[in-house]
Amino acid sequence: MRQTARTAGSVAVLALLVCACVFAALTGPAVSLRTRTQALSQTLAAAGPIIKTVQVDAPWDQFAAATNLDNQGYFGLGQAANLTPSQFAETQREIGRGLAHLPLPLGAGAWAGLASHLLPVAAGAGPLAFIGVNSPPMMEVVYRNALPAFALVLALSLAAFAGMVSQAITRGEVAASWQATGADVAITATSSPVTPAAEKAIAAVRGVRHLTATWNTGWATPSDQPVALVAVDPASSAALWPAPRSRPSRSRKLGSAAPGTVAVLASPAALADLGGTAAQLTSPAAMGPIGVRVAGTVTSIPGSPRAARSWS
Amino acid sequence: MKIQRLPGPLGVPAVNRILITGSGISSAAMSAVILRQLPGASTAFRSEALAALAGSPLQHGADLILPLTIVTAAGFGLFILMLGVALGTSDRALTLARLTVMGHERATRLVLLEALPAVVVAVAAGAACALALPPLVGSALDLSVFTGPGIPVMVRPDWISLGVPAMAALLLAVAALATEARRLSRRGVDRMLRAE
Repeated sequence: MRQTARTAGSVAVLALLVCACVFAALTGPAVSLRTRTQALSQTLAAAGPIIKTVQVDAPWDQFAAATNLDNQGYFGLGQAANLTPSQFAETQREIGRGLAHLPLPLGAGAWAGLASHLLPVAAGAGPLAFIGVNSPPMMEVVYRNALPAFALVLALSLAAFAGMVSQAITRGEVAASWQATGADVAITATSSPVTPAAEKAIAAVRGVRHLTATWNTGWATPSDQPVALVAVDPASSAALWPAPRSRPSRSRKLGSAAPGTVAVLASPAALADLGGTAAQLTSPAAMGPIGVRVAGTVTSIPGSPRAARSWS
Repeated sequence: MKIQRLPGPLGVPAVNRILITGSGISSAAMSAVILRQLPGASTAFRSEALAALAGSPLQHGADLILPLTIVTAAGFGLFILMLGVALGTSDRALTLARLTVMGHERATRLVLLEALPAVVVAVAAGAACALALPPLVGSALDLSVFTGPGIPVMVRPDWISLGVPAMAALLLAVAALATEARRLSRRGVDRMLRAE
């Protein structure tokens, strides 16, 4: 139940994060455009009417003659005369209609730019800047569109997170393979025990760095529960399981066993079967019994999923 | 060996398992020695277990999809980066031409100073998002389906996964901008201003 709630919470957080990223990616350019539009509006508000007006000019004679075609003058053109109020109003309407149908494209980047006022450059300008002028050069700070930067954030996050997931899977595979075998090579003798000569021959194979011999046997607890015992030499096993990914973790420091008993690291299941921290194990084979004292716990033993390890 | 103190079938333990670590252990050589010294013994190689895990259909699919995702995201990032550089080229050329007329001579530095801060901020924000993702969504991702039960697979911040795309983006941006600055310098002020 708790796991389900945690999973649902994480999915909600992920959804929220994705929404936030998308929102930022979409809002950023919009805010950028709005800022520039506001800047343009403020600039235009401060400008004089002449600057904001579309001006049309023409020679008066030609204009007046064209509007007075009813009174023919020289060369078949109308006679130049002052405009009547009605003619003036009609002219205004026609020019207005004509301009309304005309597209008035602004120069590329001319209106979208956001720039500071011209600032005098006090120092750092080259000598060429002063040729022919006595005043110092001027500088303006120009705004650039940040749209690609917002999208780059998403792309980088995705690439990095996918890489992390891939690395996590690779680490998990290595840990799982280590857990399955317990070593780079695990040899289990079935018919006869491993002799020192065999150990020496195997250790001589090229590439072998550490070798440890273990004794894997089955025992029974006082409550007649079967328990697997892996007896290892502490020194050689410490050299064998140095890999931090799968080395059994000890929750407590190894304690000392009483004389005649063996200190063991037990899995939680084995500890429950033992019924306490000290017990005597018996074997159906002609050996033992053996007294054990739990000196620590391990979550798992690589290569022996259902075993307790004797730290003899 | 302390293990010899334990009570075995004949008074001493009979060692029946050998665990070996090492790199580059030859399977053939090891099998030959085992066959000669311990006939009938079973041998398990970790490399084979790893290969079996990596070769499973699900894992094979993940091996295909994840690199594809990384490549797609990297390609998208590269496209965005180049688009950003390309969109600002004409403005930068004009600014550079004007400043060159005014006596400015360090074109590359100017171009980098003008365009790089946005890229640096974007890379930093991307890295921050990528660092925030594992603790936020890690518990919701059950990656043990790829490795088998019992092995918790945690997504941790990985500096290689994080650093390589970030550094690649930065280096590409610097290289592209430096190349652009050099090209603009070679083009000449008069041509740039005439183009205006």
